[in-house]
Amino acid sequence: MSRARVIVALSMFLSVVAAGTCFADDNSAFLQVIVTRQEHDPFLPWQKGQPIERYGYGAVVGPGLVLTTERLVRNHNLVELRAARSGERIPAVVKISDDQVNLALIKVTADHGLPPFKAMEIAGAVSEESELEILQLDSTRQVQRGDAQLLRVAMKSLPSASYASLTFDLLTDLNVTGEGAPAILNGKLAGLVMSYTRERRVGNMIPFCVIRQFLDDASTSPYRGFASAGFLWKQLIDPARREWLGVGDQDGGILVLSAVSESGAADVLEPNDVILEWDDRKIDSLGFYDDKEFGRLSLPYLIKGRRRPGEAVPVKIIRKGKQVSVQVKLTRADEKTHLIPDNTVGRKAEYVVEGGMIIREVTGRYLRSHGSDWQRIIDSSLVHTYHTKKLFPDSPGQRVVLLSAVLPHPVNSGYQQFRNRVITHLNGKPVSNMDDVFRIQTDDGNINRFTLKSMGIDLVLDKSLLNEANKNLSYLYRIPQLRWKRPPESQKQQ
Amino acid sequence: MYFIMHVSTSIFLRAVALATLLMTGMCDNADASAIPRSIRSSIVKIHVTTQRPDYTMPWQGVTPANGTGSGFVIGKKRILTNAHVVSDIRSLQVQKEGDPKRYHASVAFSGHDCDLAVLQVENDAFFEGTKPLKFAKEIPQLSDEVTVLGYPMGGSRISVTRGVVSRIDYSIYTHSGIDQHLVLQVDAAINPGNSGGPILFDNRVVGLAFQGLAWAENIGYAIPLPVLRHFLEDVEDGRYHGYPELGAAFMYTRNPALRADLGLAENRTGVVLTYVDPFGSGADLIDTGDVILTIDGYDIANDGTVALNGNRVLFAELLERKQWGDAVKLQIWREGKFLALQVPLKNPHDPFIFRSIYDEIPNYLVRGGLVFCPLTREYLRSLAGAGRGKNTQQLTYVSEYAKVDGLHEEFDEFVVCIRRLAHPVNTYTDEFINGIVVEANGKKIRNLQDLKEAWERPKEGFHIIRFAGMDDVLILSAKEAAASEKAILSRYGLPAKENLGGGN
Repeated sequence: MSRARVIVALSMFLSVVAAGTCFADDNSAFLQVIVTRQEHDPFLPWQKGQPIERYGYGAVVGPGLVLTTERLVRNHNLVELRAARSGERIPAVVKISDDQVNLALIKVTADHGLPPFKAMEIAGAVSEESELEILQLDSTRQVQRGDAQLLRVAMKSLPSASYASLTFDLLTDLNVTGEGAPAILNGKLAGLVMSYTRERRVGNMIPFCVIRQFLDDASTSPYRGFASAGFLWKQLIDPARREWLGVGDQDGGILVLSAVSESGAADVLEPNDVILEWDDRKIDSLGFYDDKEFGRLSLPYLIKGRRRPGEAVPVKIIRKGKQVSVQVKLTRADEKTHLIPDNTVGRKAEYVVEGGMIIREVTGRYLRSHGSDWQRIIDSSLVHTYHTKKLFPDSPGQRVVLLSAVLPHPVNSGYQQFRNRVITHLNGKPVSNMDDVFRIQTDDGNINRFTLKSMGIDLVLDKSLLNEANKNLSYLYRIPQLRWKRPPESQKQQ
Repeated sequence: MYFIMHVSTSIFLRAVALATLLMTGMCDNADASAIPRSIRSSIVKIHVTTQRPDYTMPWQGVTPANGTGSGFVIGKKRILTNAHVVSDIRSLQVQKEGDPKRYHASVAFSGHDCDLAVLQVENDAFFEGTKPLKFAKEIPQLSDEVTVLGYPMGGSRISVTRGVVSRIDYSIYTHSGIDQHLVLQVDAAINPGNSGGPILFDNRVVGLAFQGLAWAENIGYAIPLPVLRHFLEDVEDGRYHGYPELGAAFMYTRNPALRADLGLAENRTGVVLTYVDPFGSGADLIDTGDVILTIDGYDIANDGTVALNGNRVLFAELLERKQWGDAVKLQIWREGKFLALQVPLKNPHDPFIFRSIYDEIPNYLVRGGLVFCPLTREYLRSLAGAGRGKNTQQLTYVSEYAKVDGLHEEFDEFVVCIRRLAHPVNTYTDEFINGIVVEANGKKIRNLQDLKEAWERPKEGFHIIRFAGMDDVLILSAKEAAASEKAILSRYGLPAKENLGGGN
């Protein structure tokens, strides 16, 4: 280590944490989390895959409240908690989960025969000298402890999703067996382990400051989440490019590539803007700034860790050779505004099955479901759209609607080779998302004409046979519902 | 002919030309003495040294490779073999059975779309004792026993194996990568070196061995008689024109609702066009949604077949028989009316077909240490083992959709920045590798020549290059780029900073 970095505590304690409660040898503040999860079948969206049981850990952070990772509880059917030296499984529900920071808050829903769980206090600071201790259970459900040392603090892409988040890298002698294992410092929660590599004995954790921000937000309704500015940028090192942009060698600054639709940066930042200062902090040419708490950190933490959605921040930029000051209003990143959402969390896809033709929207998760070779397997036009346009719909709400497959049946004979083809019109009406599909089906009674991109003729089904064919298909392929639209209340959850 | 289909690098992995194929399998070796001497003496061993251009460093070639193939004497003192045996040739010699002498030969005609070539030998002494092989009148039937002759690996003398015809079908000819023609599948042992050797039935040529399947045993493919005839007839006027292209994609009209939508009466059958190639022979005559009812008077069924000589074959087989300059008669159903069309067939220059290239030196342009080339199938193939990054994937996309998505109207060819010859002038340009240039110094780039011209006119001291699908712009100092040129050429051993004139 070149220098010891002391990470300073914030003075505010969380309302959900019982003041003065410290975790020492009281193991009731630390629980095993058992999740029965079941993923939605990407190709037959009315079905689910095999239920799988996963084990991880969580830290008690309030009365009946346990904090764990979002990835652990993703697609859960059942969440249960088990204390050290106990066999009792206590049912719990997920109260809030946020894939942008990989945290989830779960709440005990039933009485149990165990002593009351005591909440952990959140640590105030962690330094490279801190003697961290990671906790987990062994096979006999005794508490195992292992020392850990902080190696690095950085904004990194989460192992569970493509969002950058503040991450502490650790070196530990404990073979960590489940995510969510708490890292303890002086009896307080310093972080939750996200991943661990046994061969190198290194892991990483969600640090105390992110946890505190999450819990603080979760303590009031509605949950607002973490802030995002919504633009793509790159480092600005190339001297020729700096000269072309009219930026001095010593000015630092990063280059704006584009702004994401419906984000705070949209209509404010432009391609080829150079951001010199963000929120009154100088940004160097690699995109780092000097954080008052953690030292040199990448710009995204200044947005995600230091501000909240709804706040506006001052930004100093160079645009066409002139220095300009603008305000960027921060929002919560919402992939619902994307042309192709990634759907990392694996939400069930809305779909319509009409005459055996399966209609759904494209997501990054769906594309990747085709296997590691998906970029070769799937039509190159679709892959190209994903790579170049996924963040940029032509109009709000636009998605890529697919004829994902055709379930063979006499009504669709001659069409059964079509797979993963983009639909532009149904019944002659333009289609830009599943809402359009549902509306057309409702208005017209059924869908019997499919217009596919890059194809000169329509696929037509016999309207008079569709109702009977649909019944038959439903029976043959065991499709409980031939269309599924997300209920409005669950649309709010993400 | 070729069908409109997606060019996929994966096809390179499936079928391989026999010049490089390693196959194992049972060998039904037959007695060579059972073949008349007049036939055996006309089977030729071909010794070659070839050198392909290096499409990742287009100013040079890859390591020359020595190999052998087979061929056989046909009329006019010529030898018929595979184009893939004699492509990118640097040295070519032929040798007869029982004659230790090798004779220099040259390539008279190459048909890369059908993987056939005609060789000629100036020294008449070579043909002494040979007798042109006779061609059969028709292709053999399924399960007919055929004999494969040639000089495969594992020995220097002529080899004879026997097997049966197990399938007659259309398949991709791997030499061009995209063309489909009739193939004869035989279960005889066909090994590397067999390429170009004759397949005999009743001692008459019914095919020419040319490729096999890498993952299957005892499946060999031969170019059948109709394709051999087509090629030989084509070159009779002293030039190979190639298979003409109608240029259309079609769909069967099996679905009754589709047929009703097209207004087809119950007793009318045919295939419906889903795409018309702007470079194809039919571009100005046929249209999407047209239903082709008959071809040259033959009724097309809803499954695309026609009744021909008692068999049902794909209607494309009738197009296969056409030569450049012929016409095909089509009866079309268009918007409720019958239409009789006569489509003259041609084989236009189509830069967006992405057929494999042979016997050509690639074009390139090096500026500021950045190497720009037109996109080729060869370059795509060189990326097959590379990661599928955004830029690489875009190249695959344009190779498949250039015409379908109308990109051919904006480009004459796709100019790709294929690599960076590292120099301080271009240190920060890696992310543009495999990008397609759309604009340089304010000029729209349709071809490599455009880029060359645009480079002469930097904007306020900078070269500003824009790439398809990228938000970012490549910037180079014009002064430093010019100053770096000599050092880059010298350091990386480039004989010239550009080749825009092709060559072979």
